[in-house]
Amino acid sequence: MNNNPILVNALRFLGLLMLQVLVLNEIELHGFVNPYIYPLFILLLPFETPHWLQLLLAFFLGLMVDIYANTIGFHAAATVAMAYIRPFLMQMFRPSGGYDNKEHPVMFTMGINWTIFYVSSAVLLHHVILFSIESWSIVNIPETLIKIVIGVILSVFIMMLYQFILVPKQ
Amino acid sequence: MRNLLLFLKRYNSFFVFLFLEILCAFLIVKYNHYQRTQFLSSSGVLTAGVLNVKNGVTNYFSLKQQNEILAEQNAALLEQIINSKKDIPKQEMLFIPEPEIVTRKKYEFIPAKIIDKSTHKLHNFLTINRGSDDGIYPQMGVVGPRSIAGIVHKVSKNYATVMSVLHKETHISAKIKKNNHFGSLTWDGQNQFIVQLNDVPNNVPVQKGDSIITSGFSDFFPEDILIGKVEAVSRLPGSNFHSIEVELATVFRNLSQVYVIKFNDYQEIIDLENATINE
Repeated sequence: MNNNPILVNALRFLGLLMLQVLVLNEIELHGFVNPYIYPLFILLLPFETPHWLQLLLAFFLGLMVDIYANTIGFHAAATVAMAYIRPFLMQMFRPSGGYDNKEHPVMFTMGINWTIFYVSSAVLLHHVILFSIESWSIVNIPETLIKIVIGVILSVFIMMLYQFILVPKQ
Repeated sequence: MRNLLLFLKRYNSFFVFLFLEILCAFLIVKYNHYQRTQFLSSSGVLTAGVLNVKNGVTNYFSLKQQNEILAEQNAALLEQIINSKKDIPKQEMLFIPEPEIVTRKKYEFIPAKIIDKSTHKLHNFLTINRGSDDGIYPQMGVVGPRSIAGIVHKVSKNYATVMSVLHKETHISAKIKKNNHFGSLTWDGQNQFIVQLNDVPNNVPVQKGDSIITSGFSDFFPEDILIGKVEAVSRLPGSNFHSIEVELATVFRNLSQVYVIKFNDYQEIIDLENATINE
């Protein structure tokens, strides 16, 4: 994160949104699940970001994805819920030394174990809400559960890959 | 009052969260549950431009496959032309029909390109690059090179959204080719290659491999367009109807070129029916 955090995050917002809409939404494995990478934007926001701002950003990011996917509200609801629990997750996975003098919850500063726990629990909540809204009934629960599990594995994998490749190492 | 303000300040993020989630719930119900996609949908101005550019690029990837499908269709059409010429006896060819009859076509096909689609949801839509300017209106049938694709849902100036066959609310009138028994075609939302044919009574003989075609009873599709082949037939205990699984001839994942069917008598029939009802 070399320069202005606002600029970096604005670019990441656009970049992840376009990556999601133009590339990942085209991947329909067996017509079954899509991997999602855009929630990573919320997960990578600096520690000091005000919580209400995180929620608003989550809402707009989700809504943008919704507009392109013709599913108004689905992604927005899931992403807002994920942004809401983000501080609680950080509290839960708090390392023994706390988050002293660390600015960004990225893999480079936090280590791979912490990042995997943090990312996958957030993505799990996101996918549970997203797929529950999408199925909109209690009839096909087993199918929804399978979708959630496979979706979480794929999305977390892609998010970790993104952090390995594209998040600069200071 | 002061305590209330302090309380609000203390839990401000919770209230922002609550407000946004209620807003989302409102949006979901308004725009999805009843499929009212008129606003912010992909026929909207905001997204159609971007999707069009994206389509300009991704089109090239499937050109070869699309060519093969179109060539296949051309071959089938040529075959039909040649065969139909042979059928007409010579003396009848001498009779010149009135120009009115020749020029009046019952159905017209408007070619369109799919610029966006989904196949993995419960309610799938296609977006095509033809709109009201090209004479598209809601409720027109849409066919792909191999078989039916859907029904036009919403129309903007240059684009239209199509309710795909893979949409839980789509009902299409269909029949079994060999014995002309009618049924209603729906999709259960599970497998994008399989749809269900309902309302066919138990005493009608149905076998795996039978062709299913459109019935021509609805105003969307002309008669005798292929839908697919029977994949499995089973009988539910206590039911008087077959449970028939139909494998679609259209493969939605690589569908890119479609034709919108313009039924020239549509308005006339609708007016007549309305006049009958209002009588």
